[in-house]
Amino acid sequence: MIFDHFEGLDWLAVLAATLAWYAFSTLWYSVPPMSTAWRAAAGIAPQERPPMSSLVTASLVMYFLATVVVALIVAATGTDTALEGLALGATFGLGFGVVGGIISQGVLQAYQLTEEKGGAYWLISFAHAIVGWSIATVILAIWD
Amino acid sequence: MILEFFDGLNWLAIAVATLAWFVFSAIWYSVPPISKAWQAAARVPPQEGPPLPSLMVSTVVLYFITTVVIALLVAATGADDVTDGIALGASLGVGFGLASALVGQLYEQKGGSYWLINGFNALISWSIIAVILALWD
Repeated sequence: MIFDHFEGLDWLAVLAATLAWYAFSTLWYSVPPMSTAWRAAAGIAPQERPPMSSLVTASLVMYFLATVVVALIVAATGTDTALEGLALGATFGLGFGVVGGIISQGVLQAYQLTEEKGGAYWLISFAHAIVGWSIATVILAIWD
Repeated sequence: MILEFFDGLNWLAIAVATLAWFVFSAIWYSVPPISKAWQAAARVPPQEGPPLPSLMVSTVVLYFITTVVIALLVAATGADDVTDGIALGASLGVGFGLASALVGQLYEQKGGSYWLINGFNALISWSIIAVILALWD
């Protein structure tokens, strides 16, 4: 069972992977031109957000949770090279990130509840999913 | 490497698991009170959607892709009983479904219960899929 690998987790590696994934996401969505393109496509106004401290804290907790699951799967599948980590991360990114994004946003667009989001939105979100997951899996795979 | 398990995938099991997920989600999002809560949170007006066939076909295709990934994980982790399947599916649901839905909610400001409904849909759906794939021989 996947939980059998819980005791063997390297928590320093999990923490490093969480922070790397979060730092990548922060840069990805906050540095122009991608940030401005994504914000415009998603129709997000900065004023609509909750306080930044709660955003950062909640995001970090969620990224940590996701990274623990990634770490369990990395351990359970015996993923221990950068190439294997990349394959696993890209698979996660495609199967969960890209598909999840298309389903959630696609439904809203189909019902015309959100403006048509151009290619930039999809490209930025999908590339983020695949690269972000891959960063976490590669760090966890090669950490010894 | 995870992709090495691709050749050994049971495509009939994947098709059944995909359909089970689709049926579960169709019920999840169309039966009150969850359907009403989701419609309110997502601001979906009842019976004003696009022609159902195109939405259904694209959803099944996308579900199929995720099911293939879960099948690879089931094979790579050696999950082969109900407990293994539930553990894997619930882990994916919590780590990827609930967590990513909440992060999306924080930044994209959808309805309050939107992430919870979608997140728990992922948690239960992926557990169903993982159990089917783990048990199928």
